[in-house]
Amino acid sequence: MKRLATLAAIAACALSLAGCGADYDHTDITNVKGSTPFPGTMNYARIVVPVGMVVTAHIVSLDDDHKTMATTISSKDTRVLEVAGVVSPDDYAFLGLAPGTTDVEITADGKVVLIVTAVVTNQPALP
Amino acid sequence: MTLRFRPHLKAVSAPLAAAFAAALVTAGCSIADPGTKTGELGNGGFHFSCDDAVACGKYTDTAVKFPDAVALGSTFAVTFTPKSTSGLNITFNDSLPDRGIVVAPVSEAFVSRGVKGLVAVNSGYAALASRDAAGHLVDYVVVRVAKPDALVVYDADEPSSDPPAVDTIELSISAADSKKFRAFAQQNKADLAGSLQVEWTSSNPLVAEVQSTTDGIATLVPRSTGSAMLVATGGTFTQNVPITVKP
Repeated sequence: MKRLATLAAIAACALSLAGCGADYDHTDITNVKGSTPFPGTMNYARIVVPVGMVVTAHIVSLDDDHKTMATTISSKDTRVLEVAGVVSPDDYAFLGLAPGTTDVEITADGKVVLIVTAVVTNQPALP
Repeated sequence: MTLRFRPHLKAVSAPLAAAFAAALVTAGCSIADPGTKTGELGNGGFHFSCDDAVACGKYTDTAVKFPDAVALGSTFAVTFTPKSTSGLNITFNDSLPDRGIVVAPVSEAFVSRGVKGLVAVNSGYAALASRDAAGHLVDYVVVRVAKPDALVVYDADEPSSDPPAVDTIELSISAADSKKFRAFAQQNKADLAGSLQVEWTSSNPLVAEVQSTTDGIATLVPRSTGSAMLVATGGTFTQNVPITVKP
């Protein structure tokens, strides 16, 4: 009985040390918008933006208590793709600067939670 | 560039935004004004301007529409007025004439920033982004840069906003007359906006000489009787207009 109480105390202690608070749960990417005639796209795996154009999205990371986490979004190659904050809350813009491929890193509370491949494509040639 | 989730509006920004919105209302400006195009994000309106009365007048100031296309090689300006409703986290800088709201191309691939404003440098679709003083995207608008397939040469002294194209030019030595010309661009017979940078030359300067080209206006003066050709080159397109100089 004494041994069981000791084990329970150790387990409680370990849980406490592990900081069993709220953890990252998921990231929501919604309201993805581009513009005509080359709208571009964004999902959890890939962003496609034609050069010279913009794709915007509402991006929120949530913990397992369903609370919003502090989110940062950055481009690994800012010569290819720029990530800019939009004046409306939790909205971000992906700006196609030059044709190429890079990664976009999304962090929640300082930890990388999602890496999305970003492709900036050439526009079709106009007459 | 790394972006952090921004806290809510700073206390100082709210009264500034309200004052700016009030000033706009007082001045009679709103995004419903003619000549304004609502941005893709709906956060305000974009205004177009350029300095050629014919090529730009229909899109500038009180004009009824924002152009769908600008001519390759042309110069123009675009400004932005934020929507006068609350809720936007816009940062203003009152020490700057434009209050820190700057419109610039997303990429220099199609439109670049020149000394006289924005310059259409390649055919394609260009997003022009307005950013606040903190660099955050407020809104954007898309404009097409089109390669002209025609140049319309017109009499720069013609008062009409829709002057006829000049097909032939007649000058007189005895009258010592000179004439002034400008040109705007078309594609598929549709006018293209923007002040076109046109290079003017005469095929025979001994007959008729392009004396000066100031602010896009070419002044043609007769030198001797005969025939020549006024050559206008702009937006990668060339237009020839026959010249006859009489005694």
